[in-house]
Amino acid sequence: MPDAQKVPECPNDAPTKPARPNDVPGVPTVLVVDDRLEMAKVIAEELTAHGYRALATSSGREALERLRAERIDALVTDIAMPGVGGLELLRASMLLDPSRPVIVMTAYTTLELAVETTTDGAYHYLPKPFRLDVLLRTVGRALDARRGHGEGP
Amino acid sequence: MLAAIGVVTAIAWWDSRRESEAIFRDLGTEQSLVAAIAARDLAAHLAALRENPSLGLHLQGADDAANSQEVRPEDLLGNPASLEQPGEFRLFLAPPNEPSLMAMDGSVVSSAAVRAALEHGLDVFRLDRAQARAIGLVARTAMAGLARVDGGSLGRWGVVAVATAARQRDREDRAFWRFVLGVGVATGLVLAFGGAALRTQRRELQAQRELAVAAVEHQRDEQLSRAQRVATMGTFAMGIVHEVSTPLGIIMGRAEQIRARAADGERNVLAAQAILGQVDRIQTIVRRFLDMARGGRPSLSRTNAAELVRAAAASVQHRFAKASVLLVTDTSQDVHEVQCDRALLEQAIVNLLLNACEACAPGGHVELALRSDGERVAFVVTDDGVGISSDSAKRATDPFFTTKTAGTGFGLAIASEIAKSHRGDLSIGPHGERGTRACVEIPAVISGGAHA
Repeated sequence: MPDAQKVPECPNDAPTKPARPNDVPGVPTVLVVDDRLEMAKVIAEELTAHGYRALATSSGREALERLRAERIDALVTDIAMPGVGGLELLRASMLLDPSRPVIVMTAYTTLELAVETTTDGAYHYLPKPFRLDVLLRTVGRALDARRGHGEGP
Repeated sequence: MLAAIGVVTAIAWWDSRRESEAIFRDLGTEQSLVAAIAARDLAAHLAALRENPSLGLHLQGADDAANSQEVRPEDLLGNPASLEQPGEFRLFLAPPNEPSLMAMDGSVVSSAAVRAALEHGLDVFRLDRAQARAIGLVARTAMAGLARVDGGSLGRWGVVAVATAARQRDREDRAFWRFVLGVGVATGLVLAFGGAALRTQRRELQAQRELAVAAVEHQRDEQLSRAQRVATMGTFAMGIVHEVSTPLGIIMGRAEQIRARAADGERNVLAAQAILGQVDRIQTIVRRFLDMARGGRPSLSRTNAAELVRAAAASVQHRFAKASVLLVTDTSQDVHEVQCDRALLEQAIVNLLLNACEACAPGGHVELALRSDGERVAFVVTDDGVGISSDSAKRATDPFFTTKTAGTGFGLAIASEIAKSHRGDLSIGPHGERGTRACVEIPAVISGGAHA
């Protein structure tokens, strides 16, 4: 399936404008990855509108670099992507920061895939298409859990 | 059959022997009758000679006879010369006190055996071939009829009638050979017809077997094409769901955002609501289509990759046999399990195998090998067929692209889609000097997961 949208604009796409990634300490940062950039943008905009700092990208490779280099509090990623796929991102994220919640979304919906991704450490699994409020609730819960997990003691 | 022919021949032989014994018996009786009749004539002549002594008696050839009267032997027996048949039948007189036998033509033969038989008072005597020849008959078994006449003062005379069974025997022999010929011809016919029937039957059996094989092949082809149709449907359905889901997600998201921003404007809310409703509807239809295409079978399962290879190879084996192409599988490498839609992935491999088979001339080779680097599992199909140009390799997975006259152009496109739906890839390229390498690569199931 060709990817018409995987074009120049993809690398730099945080709708919010902070120059430095870490300069709003209280605001959680969510990385949204989907090879359809428009999808990533919709989700990122929604998250931004609800007070998160959201980064959108259509490249798995770029997402991987950001996971390594920046403070990312939660990852929302598509599964089937050319190059670095969602499950690779999930595994990389689990290795870099096991407490970081990862929410996967996919159009290939099967129960078994859901089981596989959650046993691989995904926090939640969203079959496409889904309601944005469902995604917001999921991200919210995931970050609450991380905060409770990380700051509780 | 040969035993039956043997038995029939033995029965014929035995029957002809019995028949010839009967002939000899009858011949003997006949000769003794002839001898007895001749003996009565002889007795009458001897009596006449005794009453008229002036006639005297001098048998021709009997030099020492005292009487002067010459009598020819045939005169003593009336006129039996007409009975003589050269070599076949002879009539003899056995004069008293002489070891020889006197024939009707005046010739003299000697046969100790016949004289002995006379003296022993036999009526019938069998002569072997040598004895028959000695008394001037053809060298065949002969029967002699014997009669004795008491001539009083003229001594004791004997009459011997001898006949060979040559004619009867010849007839008998001809009958026997006719019989043998008959049996032979009958046997030949039976053998010929039997052989022909056997050959026909064998040919029919062969034809039946070929029909059965063709039927099985046809059935397998049917199964293969049914599986292909199902896979095609399933793959298309999955492709559609995948392609449609993300745009639907985007529409849904944007509509939700519009609805949220237009909280006060009633009409915009309704419009966004309508969009969301229609998206739901499309989603339902698409999912239902996917379920239908899958035919209700479970989609993903953990599967032993080697088993998958064997199943794929088995389902195309008959095609390879028909095309005289050798298919070998290599599952030697220890491979992880794969998480897959078994039917679909098998179909992807089947499509690669069929392509490879069709690329090969008779006598070609195709190998299906299982390879793994621990993270990914590769199903690699290589052939030594016509090969592939780099341009064709690039376009190989496009739907409708085909270099075959009878191809639909779907096989590799479907295989590629199936690979993608398993988060894998299909790659195609040249192999060796000529030939093609096609490879479906999908992630392996990593045991233990990534919990640590």
